[in-house]
Amino acid sequence: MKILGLGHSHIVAIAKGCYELQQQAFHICGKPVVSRFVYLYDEQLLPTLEEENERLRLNAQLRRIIDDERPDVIVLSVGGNEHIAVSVTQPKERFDFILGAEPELPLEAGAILLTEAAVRETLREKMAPTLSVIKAISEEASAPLVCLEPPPPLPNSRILAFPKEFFRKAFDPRKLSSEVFRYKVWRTQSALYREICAQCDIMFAPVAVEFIEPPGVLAEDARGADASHANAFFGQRMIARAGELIASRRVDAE
Amino acid sequence: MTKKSHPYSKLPDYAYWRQGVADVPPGALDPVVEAPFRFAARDEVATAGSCFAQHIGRYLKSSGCNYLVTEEPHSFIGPQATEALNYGIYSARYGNIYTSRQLLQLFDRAYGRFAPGENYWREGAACVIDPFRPQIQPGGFNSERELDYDRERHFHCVREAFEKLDVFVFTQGLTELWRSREDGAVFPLCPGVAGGDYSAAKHEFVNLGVEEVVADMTAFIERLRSVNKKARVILTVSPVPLVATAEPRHVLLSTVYSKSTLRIACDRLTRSLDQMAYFPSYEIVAGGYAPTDYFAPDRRSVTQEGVAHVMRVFERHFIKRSAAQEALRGAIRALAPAARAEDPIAEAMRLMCDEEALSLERIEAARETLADAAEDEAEGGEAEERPPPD
Repeated sequence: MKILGLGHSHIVAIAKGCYELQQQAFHICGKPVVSRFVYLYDEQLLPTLEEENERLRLNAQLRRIIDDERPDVIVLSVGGNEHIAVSVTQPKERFDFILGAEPELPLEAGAILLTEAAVRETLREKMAPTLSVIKAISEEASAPLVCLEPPPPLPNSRILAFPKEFFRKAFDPRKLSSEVFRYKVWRTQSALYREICAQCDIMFAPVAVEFIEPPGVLAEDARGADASHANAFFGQRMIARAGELIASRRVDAE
Repeated sequence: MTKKSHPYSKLPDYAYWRQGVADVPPGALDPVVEAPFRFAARDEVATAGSCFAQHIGRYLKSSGCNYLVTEEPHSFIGPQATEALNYGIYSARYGNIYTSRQLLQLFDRAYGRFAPGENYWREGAACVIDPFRPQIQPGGFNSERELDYDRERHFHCVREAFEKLDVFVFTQGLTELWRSREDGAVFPLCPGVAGGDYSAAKHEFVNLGVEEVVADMTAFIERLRSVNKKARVILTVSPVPLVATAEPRHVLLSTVYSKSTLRIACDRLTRSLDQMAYFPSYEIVAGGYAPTDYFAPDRRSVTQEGVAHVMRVFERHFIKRSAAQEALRGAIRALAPAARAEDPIAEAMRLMCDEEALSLERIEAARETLADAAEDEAEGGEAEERPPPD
């Protein structure tokens, strides 16, 4: 089972996890896993989308990689940090929103209440390049695609431990958002991934529930070395999850 | 024979068709003789109305006027999301207001005088549509609770707009409306088109007459002035024809009926109420008398050139600017990208033209019919070629 992985920073943990699984002779659909992972910020693959005949198309070099590799499945971890970029701090007028899928989650006292649509549409705007790349890959690839859900946000302790990951200057910790707020934004981001996947016939692999700790942060044993990424263990589980999806699709097809 | 004096002998040029219309160069038709009042560029102007009203708001914003927007997006919301969520199109986020009754009820709902029974349209488990703003944001609201929060803030902003404005420009669009049989609540779109479920037992069609429009508008203006004594009102009639009619007759006849009714109502209102003006958008674009055709090929969308003509006349007669403001306006114009005059503005209008949902629905229905027919045909063809079963 040949996996081609394409993505940005989160693909690193996925690749590490996949290589570890390969060392353990991991199988998908009864076949041993072999893989190649491609980092989309590689200079030779930029810009990821190129204009061709007045439409945006996937970078020609990347198209060649997809053609040459002839993968059985393409695993995507494109973008995925948009949620944290927009939610790590609160603006002067703090806000919150009701997450439709989990309406019982608490609201920040005194915060202005926005609609989920306002948060979703703002995220859609920030995620436009990510969503365009996913769509372009789906248009070029003949192999089945699995989009991996990015890891949930990390807890305040991690953000405060690695402030330079987000802020050039010292920041006022009072501006830090709540963990549950970041969880809601992450879930809203995931809804947009699910939406593009449904449009482009891409399978969506959600993060396993055991990787989400209350009140909605990445579980400790899945955290990477910084304030936004996961580790190889998380990568292993996501690859295994992708394998389950591929297997179930094959069963359905049969 | 000596020339006799009669009532027409000393009339000004504008009273004569040849001088007032026929001999006027393209783009110069100006049917406004004297506006009853002018407003200063610093005065706060609020707008509402049917799709065409959006152009007035856009013009006021882009020309350096003080366009009053009380329902602003939160700083978190991005520029494209701001557009998608229909912020800033009107003074508050009420969407298109097509009829006089809808406007009156907006006021009453905002001030707690009217609470319609049909206040939510539930679309599945995770979507609630506001029956009075069915297309105000993509995907509707995620719950009644969310809609209630948003509506409360919206009504606060509506009240703020009514209470702060110096001038209110209302573009009347339609006389046809759908309302609840239970309490008369008027919906901007027929239930079932962009949310809700149409039921003949619950909903009824009404086509307003002149008296009803005059009564609605008179009541609205009285209420507006009860909260804002200084409010001046400019009425206009949208030149955009109806997308569809619910009357059992041709849409063209219904369009002419609606526009005629609204035009007469405006005349009655401006004659009977103080600080009221009529602005002839309809006559400039849809009168058919301007030398240039201001409709796009769909015969509904108004071209940019048409909008520019309307706003030029509006500017000339209604807006008072100081020399400094004129200079500022000149600078804004110089910095703005040149508009393509012949481009239809249909795209811009679709930004928030609920009525378009009616024609989209029809296209979808036609597509489905064609697809069904194609499927039937394919099934039939395949059956002929299929080998007999074993």
